[in-house]
Amino acid sequence: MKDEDVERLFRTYNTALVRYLTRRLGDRDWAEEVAQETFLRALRQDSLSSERSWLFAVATNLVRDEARKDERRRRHLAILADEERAREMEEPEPSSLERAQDAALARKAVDSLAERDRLALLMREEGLDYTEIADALGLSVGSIGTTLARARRRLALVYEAMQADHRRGAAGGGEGHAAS
Amino acid sequence: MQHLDEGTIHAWRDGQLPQDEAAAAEAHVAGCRPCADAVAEARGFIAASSRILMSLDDVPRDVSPKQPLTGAQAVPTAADVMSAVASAAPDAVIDLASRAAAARRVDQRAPRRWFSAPSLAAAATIVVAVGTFALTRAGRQRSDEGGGVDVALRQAAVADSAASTVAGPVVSAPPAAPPSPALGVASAANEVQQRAKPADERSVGSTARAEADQSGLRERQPERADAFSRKAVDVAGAKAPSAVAADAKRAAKTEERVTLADAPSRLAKDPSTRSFQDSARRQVAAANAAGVPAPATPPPVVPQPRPDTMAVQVFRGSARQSVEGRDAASAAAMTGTIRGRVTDGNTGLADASVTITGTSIGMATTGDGQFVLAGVQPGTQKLTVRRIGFEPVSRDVVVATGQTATADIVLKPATTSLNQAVVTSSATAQRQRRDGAAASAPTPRPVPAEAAPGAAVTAAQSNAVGCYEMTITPTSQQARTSFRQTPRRLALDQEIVPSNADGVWYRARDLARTGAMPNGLWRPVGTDGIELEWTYGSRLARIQLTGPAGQVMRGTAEELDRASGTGEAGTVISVRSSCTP
Repeated sequence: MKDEDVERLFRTYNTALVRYLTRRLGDRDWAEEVAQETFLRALRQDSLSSERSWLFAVATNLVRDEARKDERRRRHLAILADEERAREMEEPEPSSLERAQDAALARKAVDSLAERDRLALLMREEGLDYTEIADALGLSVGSIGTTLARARRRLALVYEAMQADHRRGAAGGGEGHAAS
Repeated sequence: MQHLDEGTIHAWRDGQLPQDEAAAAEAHVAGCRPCADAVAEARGFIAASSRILMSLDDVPRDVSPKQPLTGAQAVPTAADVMSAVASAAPDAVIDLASRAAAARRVDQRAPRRWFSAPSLAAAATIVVAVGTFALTRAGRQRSDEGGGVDVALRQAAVADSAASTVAGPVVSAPPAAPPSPALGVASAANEVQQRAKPADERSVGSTARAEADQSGLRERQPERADAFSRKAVDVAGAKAPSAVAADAKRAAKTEERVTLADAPSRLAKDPSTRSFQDSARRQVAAANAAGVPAPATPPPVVPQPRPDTMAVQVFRGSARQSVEGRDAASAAAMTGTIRGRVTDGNTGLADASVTITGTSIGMATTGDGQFVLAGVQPGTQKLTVRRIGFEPVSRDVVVATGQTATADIVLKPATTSLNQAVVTSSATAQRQRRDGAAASAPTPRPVPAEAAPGAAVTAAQSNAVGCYEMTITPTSQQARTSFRQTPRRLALDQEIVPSNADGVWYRARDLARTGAMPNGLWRPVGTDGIELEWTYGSRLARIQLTGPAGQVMRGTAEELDRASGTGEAGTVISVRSSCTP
């Protein structure tokens, strides 16, 4: 592809791609690097038939290749970071604390999903249609609805259950630290 | 017909069923109570998932190492350490030379690829877009909040250059972290993150602070910066400062090459960067020990003329373009600016949409009709101004690099009145409430019936964009705290929320929460009405309001509890207010 094509791709999709990757990885910098590498790879392509699913698929594979090596540790780090942030923010104002705790719970809930469900959901949240998600993940279009239904149900229920636990913990514990 | 399965319901709510199947699903749900419940539940799950995922978006930088630790030797790679250190403190910023070069050295042996030579050149290309985008976005945001346009521009420029760093001070933070298990790395990363905050562009809340940081940098590092400048010029064999910014891409690429060529010698001479060299060497040794083969040839050095005030800096894997000049605002030197005022001939017109055709650049005018569009590509650009009740105007504006073009636009009142539009409300579950609140729940559609179908009003055409103080009076006496947590101060933005089967919705932000995590959606109903959805936990509040020109709006709120399928209703009065929290 030519520079200007990739520039157009970048303008169109970078925000969504970085958000997708950030949600997946819990690290904005890493997400930006992966997004950038994805666009660089687009530069080496002659043409792309389905731009968006190609970009999301390549980004997903880049993450998978790297993350496979150290997935468990990295997730742990992301959770620790969220919790750390919750603790840091305890001083300044309750709303930040609440936000950070939300994020830590959300991270755990997202991590409780199966990888395929998680990726499908994150892609859907960036506006990919079912065909694009199916392309990017190598699934059949007909299975995407079920995949998303399962992902959303589990995400919401796990999150709610953890939130309930957390509230109970905070009420009993006094200090209100993030659950750990 | 068979009952709908959950996957089909989600596909339908996501707008992904073929038309005939969607119609069949709708027909079935209308006559099937269990399916209607399942649909309501699915809607709750969909909304809750979006909200949960949105809370992940406010992620600090550097919370975990960039690079998976390789194998058994849990040693951070040199590149990891560098990126960690790069963000370690506002005054410990690494310039392109040392970073790119050190990364380059690692790259020659180690499998990390972010900084490979073709990547750098291409990254620099992409970065032109980033710089432009950042400027536009920041400028727009400020003016949306009612800040002065000048301030907006200045702040955008300052924030941008503060984040991308000024001239090249050199690393002062400790070199390689000791080999450590995950916890050690995590705490190091967190520490780094804390210290990095002032330099983080998302954290730079005030112009004053960013400027302070920046002037501090300058004061501490003027010699080095100048020396680097001169040296870079020497290496590049620059002849003509008059070539300033003629071609942003070429200049950026040139600078990359220059820097790569120049860097090793600087590294060697500068004692404070030696630690990096060491860590890079150690890393390379480790990589060798691990048997990682990756020989690479150094990139060709092609000196080209370059302006002596320009430097492109690689920052944490992404190259960012900045101009090393006396004035931070000159970061916009690759592009031009259009400034002007939209009036009806006498007075300024607020909230007119000003866009540049073929780009994503645009903003709404401020209270007295002013606008400033930064980051505009040089050349003749088509400026289009639209406002409800006026004829749209397009005008060609010639933009010169680094210059500000002026375009004052006079709008004429529209001769034909605009069609008022109907936005059909989403299929609100009309549930029977135990407390009898249903009696007050249905909201009359405020819009005349003759409106053309499909003529939906966009946020830019609506009068509702802005900030509101809301008062919610629950009609039931039950204490439902979650319902009362629905935000009392909120902003209706123009940013479109992706992936919504119900059509175009825009973000709504809770102003009471710092950082304003957006977990609300709104859309205009006609020019003077809105429909608002707010999710919290697994609950969903729907609020429908109308009012004159978005100043004072009245309507009803309805809460839907996904778990029980019940909710609470209330009366809402909303008063337009300033967006300053």
